[in-house]
Amino acid sequence: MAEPLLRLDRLSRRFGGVHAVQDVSLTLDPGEVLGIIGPNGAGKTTLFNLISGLDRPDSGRVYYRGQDVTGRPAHWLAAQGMARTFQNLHLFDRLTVLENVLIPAQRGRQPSLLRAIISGRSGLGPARVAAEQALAAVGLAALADRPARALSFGQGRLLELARALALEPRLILLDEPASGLSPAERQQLSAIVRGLRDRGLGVLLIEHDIPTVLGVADRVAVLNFGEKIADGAPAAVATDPKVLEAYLGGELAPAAPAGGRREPPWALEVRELHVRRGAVPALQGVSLTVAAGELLAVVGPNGAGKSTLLGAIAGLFPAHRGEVRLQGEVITGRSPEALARGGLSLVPERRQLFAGLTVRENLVLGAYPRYGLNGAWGGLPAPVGERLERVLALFPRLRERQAQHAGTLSGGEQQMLAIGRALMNAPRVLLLDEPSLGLAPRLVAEIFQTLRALRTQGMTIVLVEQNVRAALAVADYVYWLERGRVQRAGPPAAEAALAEQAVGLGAAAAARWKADMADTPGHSLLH
Amino acid sequence: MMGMSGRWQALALAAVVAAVVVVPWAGTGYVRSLVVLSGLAVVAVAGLALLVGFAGQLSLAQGAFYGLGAYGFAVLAVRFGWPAPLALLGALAGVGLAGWLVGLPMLRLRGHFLALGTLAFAVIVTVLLLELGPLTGGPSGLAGVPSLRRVTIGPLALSGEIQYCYVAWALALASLWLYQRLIRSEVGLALQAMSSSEVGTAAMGIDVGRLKLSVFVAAALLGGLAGAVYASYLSFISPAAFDIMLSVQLVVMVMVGGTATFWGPLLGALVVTGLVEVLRGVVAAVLPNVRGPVEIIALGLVLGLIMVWEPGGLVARLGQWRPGPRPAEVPGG
Repeated sequence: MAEPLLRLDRLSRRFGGVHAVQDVSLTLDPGEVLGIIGPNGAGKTTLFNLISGLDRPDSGRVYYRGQDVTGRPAHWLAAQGMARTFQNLHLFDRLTVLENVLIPAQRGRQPSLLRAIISGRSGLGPARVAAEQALAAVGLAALADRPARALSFGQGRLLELARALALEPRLILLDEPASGLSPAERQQLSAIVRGLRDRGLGVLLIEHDIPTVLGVADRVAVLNFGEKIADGAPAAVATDPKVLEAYLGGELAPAAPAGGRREPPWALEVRELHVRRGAVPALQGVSLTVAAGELLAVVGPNGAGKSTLLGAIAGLFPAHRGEVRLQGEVITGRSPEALARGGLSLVPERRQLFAGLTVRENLVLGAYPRYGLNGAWGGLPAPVGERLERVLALFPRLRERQAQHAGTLSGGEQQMLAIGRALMNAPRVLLLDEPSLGLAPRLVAEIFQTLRALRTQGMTIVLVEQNVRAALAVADYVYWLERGRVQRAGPPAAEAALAEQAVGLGAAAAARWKADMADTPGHSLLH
Repeated sequence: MMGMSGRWQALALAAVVAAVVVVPWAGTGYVRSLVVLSGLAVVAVAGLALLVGFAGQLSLAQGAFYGLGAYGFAVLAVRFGWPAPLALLGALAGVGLAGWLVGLPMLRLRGHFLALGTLAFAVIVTVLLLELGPLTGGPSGLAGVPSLRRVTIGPLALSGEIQYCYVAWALALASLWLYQRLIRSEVGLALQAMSSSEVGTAAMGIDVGRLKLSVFVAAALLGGLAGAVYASYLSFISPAAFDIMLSVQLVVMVMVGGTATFWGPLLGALVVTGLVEVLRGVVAAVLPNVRGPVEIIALGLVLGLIMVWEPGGLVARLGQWRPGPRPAEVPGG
């Protein structure tokens, strides 16, 4: 049997105690599109870095065209025809669109000072033709002389693709090429990817937009906690219970029936909020309401704008249009510090603890916005001491580890500390961003039990969560966000059946993308 | 050409050349010394501008390479009796080797760490120049560095100072030509790409480490060349001239001028050299009892203002004033 284009043999990479990638083996043939999906933090981008030479594996080998290329530098691999794009665009802002493509169009010929002095600009002549062809292939030829920084986000994605094509690759690694693209641009991208496959290239595709992956990939591999948990035909993967569990989380025991009624006055109200992240319109007119004492869940696929929504409420991102009201008072445009003093506490994604401080110090600092630091390291002011006692009662494990450095805690304990630190501020509204991120199911259950307990105590909580099933089990009310807009809202019982669809998986979704594919002409935009 | 239209640039360049030819004859000895020093500054700044402005690598070692060039030339000529041309080549070889050895570990550092690493190197060089007394003469310096042979063209007998003016500015213009040639080439493209994203540049097939190192060595060589001529011009050198303030001043010249075209290093070197002299005069007049390089403080203020006002350097600002549409900045064709 012929050697595959790319073969990974038990690749592993650890960061500290975390197995970012563990024992991943894969193969890819020429003329094949392999989709790689998995929840946030599953290790997809780390895997790309290991393959493309930007990072070295701790163990395992990478074989490219039959040759062991483990540990080879990125530029060498690129010159051998292994091209990649980046999730968070690595464009050359100081150059024009054409110049961006001229760099890879030299195909690994190294810039030399002596040659440059002798031949000046003419040294780039041959590469220019290849660069112009690559731009034409993605439809950017008309923008060749524009500065790259003037491109829209979608055009930037296409430029990344053009740069990869200019290397004349045999293998192309695409890291989230569809994120931030409009539906029409996604269609164009899918057509380009099919065109590459038809020319005999191997394509490795990381993508959060599962319909795009299922529609374009010949085969799909699923990563979860750094391990490959499935590898097969798209239809089989989309309905695999293990995959569904990785995306949606396990079932939790059903919630206690919601107590409060949804009616004004609202604890928190968001009206027609528009927010941009760089060039990307991340929120496009989001409106939602949170009743006092309610646990509100905001769910939706990756890139839907969930974290942006929380950040905008907490004052981290400026609102382009629209307003936010906290207990009836307009708070749009206030600084994050002012909002924290006013009782709005955000538990950010990935915790953001003070790793070098102890658990107790982290907690005491959490009280700073409201209570200041007076005597924090001598005797605590009475209200801070009281709050500390209440938080430690809520998290007995934190009490045991009070003197330990936050950086040495396990992931679950760190999440508890992050929540506890936010509670120290005696928030009127608690904003939680992906508390289940990177946690094993048992810990997720534990964290969500705590959220229930908090709700019972009357805390108002807004929860952004990828783990849809767990969120539905604790929430009083659910908003579905998709591409920066509220798609639906309702009580969790009515929404549970739709969880699979929300992330683009399951039998119904599989049927939908099949229909999509039949509609899309498979023609190539290349040649 | 970027920035200004071709005709304006040609005119401005002709004016610079005319000034270089005429000013040494018309000016006083003080003016002539400024002409020489500013010309040598242009040489060192052209090298540094590639590294700092184009590649985005903040180096505080350029003054040290200037000093190594000066001392390399002086020590080889005075202590070992090498003939001047050979001493110059030897000094350049030494500076190039030093640049390579220092650049190899240093260029793994980024941003502030690179600045601190190169700063440490600059401090080490100053200490070595002071402490290696038998070779360098220590704090009291080294005298008797050989000068250029006097040239007579027909009836014109050039004085030593005028000769140095012409030599310094011939080197300056040659360095600017090299600079312009490099930044418009594949090297300039790759350097700008690298300053936006090293990871992205590596993924496009460019060996980023090798490119950085070669530019670091090239910058060191230009610094060393300027230093060697400086030593020959003054015929006496001491370590104080090459302390960290020289490195800082060279970086300031790069920042003040900007790096988009060869006008940046040229203007930066001229403006800062002139400014230091003016400020020195002003400080002496306003605060007659104050000793020490107080003008440096004023220079810092000026730099701060320029960075706030026009972070792209003076040339970027001048480019906006030029009449006519901005030409496309695309190489080739």
